[in-house]
Amino acid sequence: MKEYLVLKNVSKSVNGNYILKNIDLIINKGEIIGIVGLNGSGKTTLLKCILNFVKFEGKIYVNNKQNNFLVNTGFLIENPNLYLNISGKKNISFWLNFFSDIDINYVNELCSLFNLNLSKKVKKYSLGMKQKLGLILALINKPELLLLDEPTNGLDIKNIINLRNILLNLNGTTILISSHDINELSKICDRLILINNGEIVRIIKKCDFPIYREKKLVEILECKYV
Amino acid sequence: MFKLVKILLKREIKKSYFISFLIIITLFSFVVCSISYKNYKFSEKETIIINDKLSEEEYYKQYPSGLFDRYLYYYELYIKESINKIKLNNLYNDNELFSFENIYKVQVFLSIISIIVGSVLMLNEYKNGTIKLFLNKGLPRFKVFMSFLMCCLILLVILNLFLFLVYTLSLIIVSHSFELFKLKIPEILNGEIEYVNYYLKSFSKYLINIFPIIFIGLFSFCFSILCLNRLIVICVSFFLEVFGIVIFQWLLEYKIRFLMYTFLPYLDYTIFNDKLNIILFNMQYGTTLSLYNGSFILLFTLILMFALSLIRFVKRDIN
Repeated sequence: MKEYLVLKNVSKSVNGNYILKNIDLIINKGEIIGIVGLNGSGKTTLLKCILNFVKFEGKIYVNNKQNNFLVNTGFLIENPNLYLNISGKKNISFWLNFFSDIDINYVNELCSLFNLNLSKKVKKYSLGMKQKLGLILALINKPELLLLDEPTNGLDIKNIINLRNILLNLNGTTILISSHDINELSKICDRLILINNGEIVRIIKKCDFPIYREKKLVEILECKYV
Repeated sequence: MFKLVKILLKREIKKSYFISFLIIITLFSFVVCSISYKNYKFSEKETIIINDKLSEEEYYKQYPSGLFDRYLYYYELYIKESINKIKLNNLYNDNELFSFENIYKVQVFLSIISIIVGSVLMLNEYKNGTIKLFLNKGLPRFKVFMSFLMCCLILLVILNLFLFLVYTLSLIIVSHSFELFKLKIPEILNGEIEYVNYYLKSFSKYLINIFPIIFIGLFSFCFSILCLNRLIVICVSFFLEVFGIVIFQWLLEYKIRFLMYTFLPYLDYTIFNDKLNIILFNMQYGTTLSLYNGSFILLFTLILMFALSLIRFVKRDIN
């Protein structure tokens, strides 16, 4: 498989405290990677480094190019980034302006799959509805690289299944999903990367998923299962 | 980058706050224009007999309340057209259409709008977190910043030109005629007296006067990136806009002159509309205020603010 995303010695520190320490990672094109870790372990920061939202030490290459900025990337990090004073529909149509070759049928399909009331103002949306709209915006342009941080937050089981199916049907998209739910991630991911205190502590291959699936994250991090 | 500017402009112009600003400017212009037109008073006429070119001192002995620079102006008319008796102000002020000068009263209001436009434009994106989505559209941060800055600049120019257009229309409606476009005033150009179109001259003067308004708008924009707090940005900008010149004059009383090299005295160019005022002011306080210096200082301040905010935007984390 072709290398798509390469992280070399990536570190991030704030006031001398390292949030990420010497992360080395190679992700192939079309791979779905789960980033697993406890709260504050550096999952979100890692995704922000890849998106170049935060300054970091080390190098990140996307498609063999050092990424000063990214093209055709979708993401949902922390809270969905939405305009609150306009409707969901207007939010979508504003971001559609940026893409020339958009598949409107796909956008409509996404909207109907998540069953979202798009005519309401976003500030009147519940947490789950905002999350759904954030996911639609992340997926709208069928991105080459998709970064999702706790994407199932606020979603009901039906929508989690919908999201899972959408992600599995995104052919050729490299996906990074951060979560602390190993069970959920193991259903769609090709590899799981365990992060603790800003360091990669283990990379779990798909064939090993059954061993870890039902285990608690804390237990895995304490090296009870090798 | 231009695509982003276009998208941003398209969105901002459709926003309700921008439309309300346009409506407010329209209403305010019409009210100010009609009141100033109906109540337009011709200035008191003072007869000056010109026999010889007087020095400033001699002039003030003879005409204590006179305007020396206008005297010089009429003296040139006296040389060119052999006029030896002139009623001061009568060339400029004996027509209600000259109430067009009151457009500058509405322009003061425009500087408040500029502050709001400048401070809200990018800070809203920070507040919503949508700035991250802009950084994700294949443009480097520098270009994203430049796009927002250009959008802000274009919006401010649109607002200023809109005011000029609306005020012109208001005066046409109030005066029931198009005389405004035909009105001519004498000007001494290259030593020759020429009659120039008053409306075009006003427009060129207006264009010079919009510079401080664009400055304060862009200043707010850059300042908003630096401190990322809307309240602070609006309060500081308002304070500078309203009290900048007052503070400058107050400090001059204490011989603190270095402020003349800052943007403070140049936040309102209407003070330069009457050259005599500035000449007297400079003589009194030993300052060197001029439009030329002002434009240079405002431009320099803007470049400085631009550089600082750009560094802040490009180098710092966006959370």
